[in-house]
Amino acid sequence: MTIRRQYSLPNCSLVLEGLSDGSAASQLDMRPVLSILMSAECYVTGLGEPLTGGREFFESLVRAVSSYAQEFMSGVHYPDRYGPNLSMVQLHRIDGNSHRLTVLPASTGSTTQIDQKTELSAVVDLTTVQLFDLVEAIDQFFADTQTLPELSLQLTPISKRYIKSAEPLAQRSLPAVVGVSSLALAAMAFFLVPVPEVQRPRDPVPQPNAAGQNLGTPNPGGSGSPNPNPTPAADGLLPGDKTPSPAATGEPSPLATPQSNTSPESTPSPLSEGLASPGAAAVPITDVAEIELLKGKLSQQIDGVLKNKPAVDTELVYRVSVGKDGAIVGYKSENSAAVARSEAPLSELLYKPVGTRPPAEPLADFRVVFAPGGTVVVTPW
Amino acid sequence: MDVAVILMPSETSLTESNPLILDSLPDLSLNDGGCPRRARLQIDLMLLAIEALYLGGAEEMLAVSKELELESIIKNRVAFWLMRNTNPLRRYTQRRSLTVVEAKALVAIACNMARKLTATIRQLLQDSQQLRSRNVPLNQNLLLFEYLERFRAHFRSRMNPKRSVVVAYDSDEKLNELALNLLSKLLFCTGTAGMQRFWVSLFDGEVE
Repeated sequence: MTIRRQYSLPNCSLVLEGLSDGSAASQLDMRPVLSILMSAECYVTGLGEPLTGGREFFESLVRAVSSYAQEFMSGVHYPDRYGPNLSMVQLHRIDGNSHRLTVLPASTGSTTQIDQKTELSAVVDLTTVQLFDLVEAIDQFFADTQTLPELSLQLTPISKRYIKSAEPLAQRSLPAVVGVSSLALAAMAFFLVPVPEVQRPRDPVPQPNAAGQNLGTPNPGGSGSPNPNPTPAADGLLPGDKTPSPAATGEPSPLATPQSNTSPESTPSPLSEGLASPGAAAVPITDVAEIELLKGKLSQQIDGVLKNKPAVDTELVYRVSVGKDGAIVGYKSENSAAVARSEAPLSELLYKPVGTRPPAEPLADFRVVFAPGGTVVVTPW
Repeated sequence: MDVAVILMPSETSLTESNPLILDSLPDLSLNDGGCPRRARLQIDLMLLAIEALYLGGAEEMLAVSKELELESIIKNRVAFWLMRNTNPLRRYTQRRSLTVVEAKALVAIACNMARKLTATIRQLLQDSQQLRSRNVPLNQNLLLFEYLERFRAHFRSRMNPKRSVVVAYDSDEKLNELALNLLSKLLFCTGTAGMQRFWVSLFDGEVE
């Protein structure tokens, strides 16, 4: 007795005809099991002739359609999703909304007993809704345990490995090529950029010629040993003695700067300011209590810096000018050992003028002696 | 590929802790336990499309989760919102990943809703197909126009405009395209094996 099973959907119906193998178990059921497929017909709306074929065609159809449905949902293309494709039925995407179903002639020599109508290849373009109806007809067939029970829906996600190998080599190597070439471009661009010169702020006495000038500078206020040959650097200071001008004391002296190699911004200006202070615009601080206070501050600052430095090996004498707020605005080496030393222990304490300090700021001068034993003596000048 | 998962519900696969409906979805081996990025994105977009199809869809989703006895997984509205916000494109995206059980619950809800909306989904897809074949703009059809407009509004208000994927959908046409693509995927969810197909498709190219 021929068994006929039909799965109908609006755009597609699947008709299977076959026989039951007549085993005892199946006879008890209301619906006998269709276990031997004789013919399969697939009607699609818009297609006059149904797609028909035997078992080979049907298996190929269900595999291809099921696989393509997964591809459609995930967007991941992998043709041989379920093992080697029987390749009688193929589905390809045309665009987002149409899909081409191709039925190829059965391979020659196949021992199908089905009528040869299927040997003609067919091409059908399905819309998404039609495709869904075909998928649904097949899923209903899969769900039917009384029809070809050995065929069931088997869904497995595609492995990462297959995705990687499916991509063409050019596509896979593209990111690496882009990365390497952009690195090369960046390297070339950086090669053209000049290496920035490091300019470290220098001491007032880093070089012999600067030191010589400092030595020759007369100290109008303190030492009282007028130099008979005043150097040009001193010229900048001397007029300041007679005509106190705020501009000359506050800013770096225009005559002094070209002579010294030191940075004009930081060191010379406080030095000249500090040294000019006793007789010039700057008023010396005379209040004993205040001087005492500043002395304390200065000792504290020096101690703080000296802590992590090795003790000096010879006595160093500096004259240090301190502002009212305790900031060291300038200092000057007072003995040969201090002059010869390239980096004074005080250099990092020096107040770096940000903006402008008031030009005629009251200053107090101190004598700072660094003894070889590591002690520091601060006394008012 | 060597492990075939047969999706017939079997006695042995039933566990007491999980709601019955989720047992039809296979546990796919994942190295870190969480769901891949594409799965989180796709699930949320599908739910977004359902919301655009159906006013009050978000409320309905909570009702469906009760119906399917998923309360143990989706405890309340906030938990549901947090789960959907594991979509990396969301404005308030969550750092945590979506667990496999949570993802199954969301898939079950999406497919259940889609099945209820089968007639609408089919109608909209057929209409859009006809309009395209005649080169008529899609907004000529009122139902389709409403769906597309709502989808665009939902997408723009909830997705982070700084993400490059979101930036790519800068025009109405591109968002319409996305909306129709999601609609056709929803159609496949309505089928007999729609839930399994959707679930397995989320892991294509993600498993070892």
